[in-house]
Amino acid sequence: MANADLVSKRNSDTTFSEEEVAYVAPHPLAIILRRLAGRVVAIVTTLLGLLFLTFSMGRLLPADPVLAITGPEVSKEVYDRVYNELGLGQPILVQFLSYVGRVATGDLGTSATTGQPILTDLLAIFPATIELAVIAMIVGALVGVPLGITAAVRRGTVIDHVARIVALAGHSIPIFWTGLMALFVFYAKLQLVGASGRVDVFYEGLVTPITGFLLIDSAVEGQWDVFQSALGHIILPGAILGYYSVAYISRMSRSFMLEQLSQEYIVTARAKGLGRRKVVWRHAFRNIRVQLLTIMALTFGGLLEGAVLIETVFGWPGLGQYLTRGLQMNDMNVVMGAVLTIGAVFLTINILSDVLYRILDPRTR
Amino acid sequence: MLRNLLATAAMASALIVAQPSLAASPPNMLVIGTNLTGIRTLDPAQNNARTVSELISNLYDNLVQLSPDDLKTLKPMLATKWSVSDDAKVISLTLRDDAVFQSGNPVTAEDAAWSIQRVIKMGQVGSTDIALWGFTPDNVEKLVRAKDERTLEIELPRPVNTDLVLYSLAGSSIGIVDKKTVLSHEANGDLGGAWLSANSAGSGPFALAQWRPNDVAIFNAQKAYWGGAPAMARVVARHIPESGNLRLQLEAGDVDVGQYLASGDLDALSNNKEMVIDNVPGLGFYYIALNQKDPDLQKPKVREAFQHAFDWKAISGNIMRYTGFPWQSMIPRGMIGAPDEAASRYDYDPAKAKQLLAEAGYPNGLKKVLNPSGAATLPFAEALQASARVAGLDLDLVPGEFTPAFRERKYEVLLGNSGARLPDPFAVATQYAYNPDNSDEARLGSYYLWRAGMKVDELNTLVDQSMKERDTGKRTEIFKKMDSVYSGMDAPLVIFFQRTDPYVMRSAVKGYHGHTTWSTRWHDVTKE
Amino acid sequence: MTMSTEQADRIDGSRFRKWLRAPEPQGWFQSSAQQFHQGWLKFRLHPLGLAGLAIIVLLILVALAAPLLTAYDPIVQDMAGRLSPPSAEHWLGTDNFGRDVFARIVYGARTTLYIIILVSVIVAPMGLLIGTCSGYFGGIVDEVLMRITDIFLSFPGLVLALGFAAALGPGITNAIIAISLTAWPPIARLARAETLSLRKADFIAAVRLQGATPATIITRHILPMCIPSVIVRVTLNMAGIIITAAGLGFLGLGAQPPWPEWGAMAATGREFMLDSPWVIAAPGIAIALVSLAFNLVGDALRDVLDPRGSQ
Repeated sequence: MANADLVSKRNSDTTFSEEEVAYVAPHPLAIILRRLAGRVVAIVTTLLGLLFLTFSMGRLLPADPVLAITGPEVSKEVYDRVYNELGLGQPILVQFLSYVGRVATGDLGTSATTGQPILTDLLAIFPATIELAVIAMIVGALVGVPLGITAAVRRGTVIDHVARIVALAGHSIPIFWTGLMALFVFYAKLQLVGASGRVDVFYEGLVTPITGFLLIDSAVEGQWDVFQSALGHIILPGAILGYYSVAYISRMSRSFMLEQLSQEYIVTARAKGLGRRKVVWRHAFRNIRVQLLTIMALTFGGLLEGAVLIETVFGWPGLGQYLTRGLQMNDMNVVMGAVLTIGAVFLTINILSDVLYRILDPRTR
Repeated sequence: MLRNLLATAAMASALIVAQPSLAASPPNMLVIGTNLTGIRTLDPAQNNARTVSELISNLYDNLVQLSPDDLKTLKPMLATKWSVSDDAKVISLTLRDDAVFQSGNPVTAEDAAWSIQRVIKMGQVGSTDIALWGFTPDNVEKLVRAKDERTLEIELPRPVNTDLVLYSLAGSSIGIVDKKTVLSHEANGDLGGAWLSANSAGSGPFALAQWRPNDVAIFNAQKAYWGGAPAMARVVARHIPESGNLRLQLEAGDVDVGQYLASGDLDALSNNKEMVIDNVPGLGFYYIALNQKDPDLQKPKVREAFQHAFDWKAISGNIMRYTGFPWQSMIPRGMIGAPDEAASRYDYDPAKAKQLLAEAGYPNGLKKVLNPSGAATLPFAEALQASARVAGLDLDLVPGEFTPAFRERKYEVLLGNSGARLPDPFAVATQYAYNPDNSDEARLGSYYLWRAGMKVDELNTLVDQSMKERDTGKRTEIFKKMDSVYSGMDAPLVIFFQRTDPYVMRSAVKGYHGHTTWSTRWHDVTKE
Repeated sequence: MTMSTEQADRIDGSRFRKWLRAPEPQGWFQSSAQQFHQGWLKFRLHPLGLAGLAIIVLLILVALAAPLLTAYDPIVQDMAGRLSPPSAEHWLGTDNFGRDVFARIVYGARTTLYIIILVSVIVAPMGLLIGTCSGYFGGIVDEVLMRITDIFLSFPGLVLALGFAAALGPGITNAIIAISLTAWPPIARLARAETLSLRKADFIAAVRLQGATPATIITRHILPMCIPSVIVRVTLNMAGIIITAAGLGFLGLGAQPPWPEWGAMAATGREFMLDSPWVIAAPGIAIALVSLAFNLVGDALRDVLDPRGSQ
């Protein structure tokens, strides 16, 4: 009878029964480990999913993987032999697993169009895109953050609206148009910047690649003329790519700043007579710095997207051009390798920004 | 904070603007803006396409050469003289004694023999032309041999016109490589193919200093070159895929020679007094391929309808202005056996096309899939689509790279362009008229007629004869006959334009002549 | 003297307005209509949002009325008149095949509208369904679905769409499929978040006690509550979708020739940009305007429907 049980339980409230045990908190290390394990499982499954996506993309491409290796002029015997070597007759799951195995050892296949192993190609061009994205991020932050903050401070006014349109324009206008127009103005008419590649032809090969970032490498070696040339070549595509991200950065800055400005401590500070500029920059800005950092990290992924289009316009030898060309030439391994790299970078950034946020934001500790 | 921002911005712009104006290309360096897409290797034996042929022709010397303005007379290069035995079975070439490879090794007949053997044994696209004479990996070592240090003997396994053989020796794929150096880098019996894809081992006026695929190729002059040191100390071939960008750089003087510019940019540059556009005729055509494995396209009247379904005149003055001239014969203009003019065999006549389709059993027109061979032929395909629509041909245009599909016979209607390296109608005839085995298993992907799925025995015989015949007069007759048979049979490869390749250069550049066979050489280039 | 009901109505405002303002709505339709009306009143106060809405309405009108706006056929070529600048005859000039650019823009609006509608129709239900199921059922279903969503989210949209479009082949339908495959994850995420907070609500418990099946709960009760934020999200993402579609068209993977599609038009116009800028300017501006419009409308919608955070 239910009621009787309830009564008896209540009566025995003061003493512990055998089932109930004093609450012992689990060891903090156990918590951390469990959380870590959960995260690792999540990351691994996401990675596998990524691999599966790239694998299926590659297999669906209308390109013959055998011909990619042998070249188009091939006899039937050679064709069959390579077909079997590649395991193309086996079930999809087996092929996928062997693909995963190869990727794990760094074998991403060979490119049909460059003849090099994909990994070699990627190692050569990856720094170019990263360098471009970093410059773009700096430009995006330098323009986007003040823009967003100003819009927040002057909310509702014309300045707010204009700032919003200017920011959104960066994301709405096709980036290849802005790129070519900018080249026309700054290169052809004003001759301020370089046009193709990462550095003037005159300086090709003069700097030994240490990090792969021309700006760093040339500065480290003290070759300032190369540095200048590299800067002149990266500033335009970097600025345009940066403008592409200004929309997101400025909107988030604006909303963060608005959140801060509506807080009580701001009202108090203003009531105390502190100048607006000090309030905004010394106090409110300090509090949103962490959030802005994570926003920066997230925009990085969007920059990779913009890089795909802008690298072709500027002849920038990076990942974006690599992918676009691979798609046009139906080079399956290139597409798979490039998409996988971009996906992996994106994933890493998301994880890092998550971690960064947890570490830096005192509220979540 | 804002103050810091402004300061940084000011400093950055000062840094950039303060660049010394090294923008213009230096006087002893030649900068070529081109498209390096798809160049997998710089090994002569593995290449025969246009851009890479130019690069290779400057790294490696050939035994003989053809100058750009005279495609009939063979001139000495590594070989100073040559002779043919009376029975036309053996060609003997005497090599010069002052040619040296970039490694320092002297150029000997053994290097020459090995280079040719290597091309045949590797069996890549570089062997396309020379394999026509009957060399195989089994017989080439015996037939192509060094008689002594200075004499190379080439014994022909079957009767061939020896001029043709010599022409093929002038092709960039038969550049002479340094046997000792290349063999020292051999891996897994690849005859040095992997090493040669990114290194050079030739005796040419330039050596490879740097190679980054799809980015840049840098060449340094070889001062010890037997023909004298070139005036250009350095040549840079830069990958500039964006035509607008390349044009801006040409106009600014950063680039000296531009290739693969789009028609709009070429039009604009033609009005620029500082630019010279050299429109070099090519050995190929723009054509429509009609897959004969398709039952609709098999019908002769349908093929004939396509001849009248394209308004080629409308595009010849604009899109095609720099990339081709109207030509409807399979024998390239100016070659032996070519008609004097061949631009009026078929005209755009949509009404006639409609009628032909009706007679063939398609009164309501025909619907087919149209593919361009690649990005270069896409505008051509768009124009065809529009003019064919009026003629009752509904062509569903699917863009992309369809050359591989073409080789596999997996298409319906395809629009392509071809090129060849041998300056003789035989080369083009092999592509357009020759097909010994029309079966699927034969996989004769290098013959366009196989790709189109047709076999004409009479043409096969004529092509064979043209290869063997030694007398020029008789060969002229053979080619004339070929032309008339081809145009009378409603061929599945409908030719509309002969190809030209435009080279743009700044007027200060002298001595740069684009070559019809793509062996454009930089040795005599100077800049004012 | 008593007034007639008609006179009384005229003083109090029309019956429709009364219905909209009734303090206790009868039924789901009336309450939704009331909410919509409230939202519209707030939305009206955003000048930028209204501007964006005006542009979108203009887009729809132009697309529908295309044949009325231009007498030119957008696909007929006229090589003799190619690349002619804007004039009285050709308001926006002609392109490299002699086709009237204005006509191609106007008919291209149809393609854009087609893309917008189809993508929304695919993405919204798909994201809603996956998100709500994931949020409601929790456990292994949630894990699996969210893992899949994460995988799709770990690529920038254009890259993933590029890959799919390249695999599927060129063509407008394939492009739409490719874009939809990349656009649903944020919607699913959003729907899941909303479902998670709704799951514990009292009225859900009440309905469950009444014996409703999970399917009914999800479709009848949870889904409608998620719709407003999903609409905002879809509108905001639409700007990016248009840019992605243009990017695909630019790379040759969108609508096939000769059909006008703004991204593809920009691609061909690029070749002639320096001498005939109108060929690329028109589609470029069109893309930018429509994308901007969706951004503005989405921003305003977010302010209206989500009072927290940015105002």
